[in-house]
Amino acid sequence: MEKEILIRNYNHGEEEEIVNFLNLCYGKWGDINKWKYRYLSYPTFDKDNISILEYEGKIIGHGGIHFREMILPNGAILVGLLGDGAIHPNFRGMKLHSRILRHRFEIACLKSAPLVFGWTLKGSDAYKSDVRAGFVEIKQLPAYIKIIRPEKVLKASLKDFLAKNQRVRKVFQETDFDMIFQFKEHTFSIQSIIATPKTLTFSEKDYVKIIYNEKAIKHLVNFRNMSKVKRILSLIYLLIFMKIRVKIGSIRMFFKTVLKGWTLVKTL
Amino acid sequence: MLKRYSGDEIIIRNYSESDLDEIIKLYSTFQNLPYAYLSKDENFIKYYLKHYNVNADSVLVSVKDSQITGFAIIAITIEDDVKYGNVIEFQAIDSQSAEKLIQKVEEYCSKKDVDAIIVALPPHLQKQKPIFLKQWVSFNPNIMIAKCVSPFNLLKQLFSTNNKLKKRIEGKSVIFRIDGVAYKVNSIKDGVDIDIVQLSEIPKNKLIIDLTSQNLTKILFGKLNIVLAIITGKVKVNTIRKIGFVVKLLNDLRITDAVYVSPGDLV
Repeated sequence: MEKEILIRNYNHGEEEEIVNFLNLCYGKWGDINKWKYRYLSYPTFDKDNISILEYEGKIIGHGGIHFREMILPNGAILVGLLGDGAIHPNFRGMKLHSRILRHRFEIACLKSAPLVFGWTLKGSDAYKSDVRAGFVEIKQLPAYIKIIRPEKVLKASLKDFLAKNQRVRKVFQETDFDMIFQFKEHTFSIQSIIATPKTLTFSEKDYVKIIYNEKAIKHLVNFRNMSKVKRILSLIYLLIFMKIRVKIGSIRMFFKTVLKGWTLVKTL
Repeated sequence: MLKRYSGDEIIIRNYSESDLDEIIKLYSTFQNLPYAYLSKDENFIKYYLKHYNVNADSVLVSVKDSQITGFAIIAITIEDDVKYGNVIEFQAIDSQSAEKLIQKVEEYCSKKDVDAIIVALPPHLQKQKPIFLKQWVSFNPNIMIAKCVSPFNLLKQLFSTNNKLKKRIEGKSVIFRIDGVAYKVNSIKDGVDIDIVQLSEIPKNKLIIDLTSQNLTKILFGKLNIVLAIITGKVKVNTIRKIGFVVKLLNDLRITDAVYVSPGDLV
């Protein structure tokens, strides 16, 4: 089957199909205006910059690369910037991500760009795959965020974290209790942000409530991109210094939390 | 009619097309900084201004004594039901202009009822966290990763643009063995010449530096200590006599410790 999958560059007129495909893979990727801005309007855009995987006339893979000069303290260098890598859910696990990545490396070589850059979520499935492909993590100057509604930002951040970490997601899907996050009067539960329907049922007392305050936000907002050790140390710090409090529904739940907590720590 | 916001000395107003030339000049403040960044010429500034969520009133400029001292492009985006005030491009020559601009960005975003505001300050304002960002949290939504896809082109571009490297190699020739392929870096009259050579063709007395492209990338971005890399065998050198030269050469290969990327650069 892999041989029947063609790899080619983008053709004019495919815009809508590509946007629909990206929305299928990413959930809410965006609309045609976003795509046109990201690609057609990009100052160095060339149709070779979009790689498409095709199977039986349908798009099953997508990957973008833009070329741009990077200014260095001593000179300048042409670099490739990778983005929007996506594989159709039915075709995952067939090493197609590596195939479309290698194709973009070849394009970079043809354009004499010796370095390619990408952005990914630390510890995510994509990150692990990129490390296997030879990528190394480099330091980026920090951005700054002013959080006005912590409950919304944290929920979105956690949703993204779970979507990109299948093992952590699986642990939550298999638990027979719910984890509730509370900031002031706002609450949300982990089960409500896991999109797949929950088959397990649990009673009202089967919950672990995590109550966090403003001082915990700084740590929680960066939790996604921490290393495993840093994540664990950060959680210990938050608990010791009472930035987060844990409330458990019943004594039975306490033992359940200890058991599941250990499994969760291993997958972080 | 342009909206005007008064400050002590610095005025914040909306952008007009005639400001473009002055805005481009602002980027010269990046020079002589130890960071790498993506080039931002007229085409890219125009590109940021065309963002699908940027409006006429969401581009602000700071003016001091009739000179433009900074600018900010705000795009209001909604991701996962969270409304972000995304400052896709921000530039200011000094912290006073940056502070005034940030105040106006916050006012604008507050009117738009956003849930969070994101900004990346230019590198010269990042030596330490500015006081005016006291209530902001330092973060990176994603981590940046890099890969060397063509060691030949990389060596060629680095040795032809970096004068320090050119000087270091003057009158010498070095073999880099990267992922098993040998690249001969030779000093010539007008600069540096690079060739791919067969290992069997290399005379025994030639200096060979053996490393992987992954470790080369780590060296470029200051993620690998050269001396430790030699001790641990991540970088192999065929002769101990030239270790000092190798350490200096590999140190010169380091291009930066950190990269500056604004939210508008993320693709």
